[in-house]
Amino acid sequence: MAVDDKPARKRRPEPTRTAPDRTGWSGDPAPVEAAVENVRRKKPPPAKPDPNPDPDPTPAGSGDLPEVSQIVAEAVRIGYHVIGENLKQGRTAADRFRAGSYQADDLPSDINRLGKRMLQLSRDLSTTGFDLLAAVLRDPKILAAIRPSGDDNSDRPPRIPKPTPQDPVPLTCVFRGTRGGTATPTTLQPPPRPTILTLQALKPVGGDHPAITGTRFRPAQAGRGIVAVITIPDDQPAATYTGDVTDEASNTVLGTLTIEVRPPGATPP
Amino acid sequence: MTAAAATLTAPHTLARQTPAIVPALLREYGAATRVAVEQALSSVAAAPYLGALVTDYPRRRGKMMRPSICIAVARAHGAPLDEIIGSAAAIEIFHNALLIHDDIEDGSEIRRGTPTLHMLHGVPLAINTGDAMMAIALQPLLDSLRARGDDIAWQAMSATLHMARQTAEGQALELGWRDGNRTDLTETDYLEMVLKKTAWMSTIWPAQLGALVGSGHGRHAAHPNAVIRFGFFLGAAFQIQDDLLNLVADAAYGKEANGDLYEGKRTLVLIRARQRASPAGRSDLDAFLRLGRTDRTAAMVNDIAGLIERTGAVEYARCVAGGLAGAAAHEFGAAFGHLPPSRDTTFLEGLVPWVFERQ
Repeated sequence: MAVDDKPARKRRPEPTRTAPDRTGWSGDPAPVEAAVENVRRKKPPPAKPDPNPDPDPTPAGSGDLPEVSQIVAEAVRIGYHVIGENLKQGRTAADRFRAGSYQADDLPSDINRLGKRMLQLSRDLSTTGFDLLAAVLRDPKILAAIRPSGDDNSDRPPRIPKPTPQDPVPLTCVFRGTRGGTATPTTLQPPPRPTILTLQALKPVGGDHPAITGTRFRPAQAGRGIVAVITIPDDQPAATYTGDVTDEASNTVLGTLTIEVRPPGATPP
Repeated sequence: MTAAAATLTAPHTLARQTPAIVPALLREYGAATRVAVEQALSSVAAAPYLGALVTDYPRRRGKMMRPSICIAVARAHGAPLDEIIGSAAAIEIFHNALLIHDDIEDGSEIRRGTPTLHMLHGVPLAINTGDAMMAIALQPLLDSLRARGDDIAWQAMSATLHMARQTAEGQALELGWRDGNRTDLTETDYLEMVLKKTAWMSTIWPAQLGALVGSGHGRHAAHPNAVIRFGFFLGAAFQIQDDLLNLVADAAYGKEANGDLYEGKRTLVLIRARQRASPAGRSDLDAFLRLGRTDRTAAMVNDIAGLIERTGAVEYARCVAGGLAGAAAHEFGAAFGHLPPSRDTTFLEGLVPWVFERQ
């Protein structure tokens, strides 16, 4: 029998993972952990005491939730993993039909981008707008830690500063002519400065009926809002018509007006 | 009131952050979509045993989130309403068709505060109605894509087929887990199911159609994968919040209270509760899940609801939903941050807090 005189095989340590990591969790998790840790400390006050407390509460896993940071971070990590895997499967399927449309070289950069996004996510987590995470904003130290600092080479498009949103203005319709109409209740986004409102035409939703033109706008004489004066021609086909109300100065759409022209002689609802 | 209900209805949970434009556009785009839906469904209005049934669910007045996402994404790119309204109508019809089938598969008795379609008309007619609506939904979609050219139409139809397949796979997962009485599920399993069953249909596909129809209107199109990620995280947060609302269902919610528990649905709350329960509690939960729906009594459901509350699973699910919503807010910037601010971009971003504040 031959003697196996080969040197002992080198054994590598078991890998910590056995599948590609596409989670995008390669970024430094510290900001997320710091933010969420603060959320845990500043948990909202408990709900009203239960008037009928359970006589035999389960000891394991109380509602105190001692691991908020891990929960939020893990949930987001899993989320990116799940959607990453799904997108990968989608790409594979698409490749069967459109060979060459996806470059395999894109994959590492995808992972790189996801990592950067996770850093940005740590900031978004504090500014999402619901109090679970908004509590972070009340702590100056945490706020300073997660505030964006200069260019992080993120691949996301630059954000355009947004104006402070104002409450929408109600739009009321008045119909002229013998034909009746019904307007869908709607509102307009207030223009940033005084302007002229225009509506080029109310076009039919489906079908090829002629459009309704000549809509005029006035400020409401009583109450708040804008009044649209719409003249419906006598021979206008009964249908639904829609058109955009535009700020003439900036050519910005402020709202959409949708009306229904009733059949001749139909009684108002 | 159960312990779970006491926690969920506590006023501390959220400060209202939803911009006023969100409910305003849901009403506005919802109204326009309803008109287009009625127009599309009128093609079978005279059909006996079908015409009246296809309009039943759409007239029960849903929140119209799905078509509104589609319209807002298209309009944020500069598309006029009349170019996108057909796609929005298709989404709403398809959604209602799936609801009919889901209600049958889940054995649900109430939908939007009224008996489900199969309770009113029987299972065979309800299945047929859902089938018909899926076919009818394609007509306004094709009509709205006709003017957009072959390439956009091909991409939109591919996205639609992909959504349909993913949704069917997701529903299969959920049904299979229940039928097989799976109790070894993890958060990853749950999120994969939600991605397929909920997010593709509810948020990803509408945003995809909106971006496709909106492309070519002079503004740089949204990155497709970022749109998908935004839709996924928003849809997942929406579904988890829906699961939480189910535990405190009331008339405004329009579904049975604790309906998910009666059905033994593998929600994130249930998965977590089982993980965190004491051995005795886990045994009780497993025994409950082994029962058929009709064998689960109100007292049993209340006991399980109490067990869930004691494990902290409700608060846990709320945390997860918050984290996923944070990811949605992030991906909103990646997908749509390059577009000029408008009421439509404000609406889309405002959907993130709205998910938690809707009734």
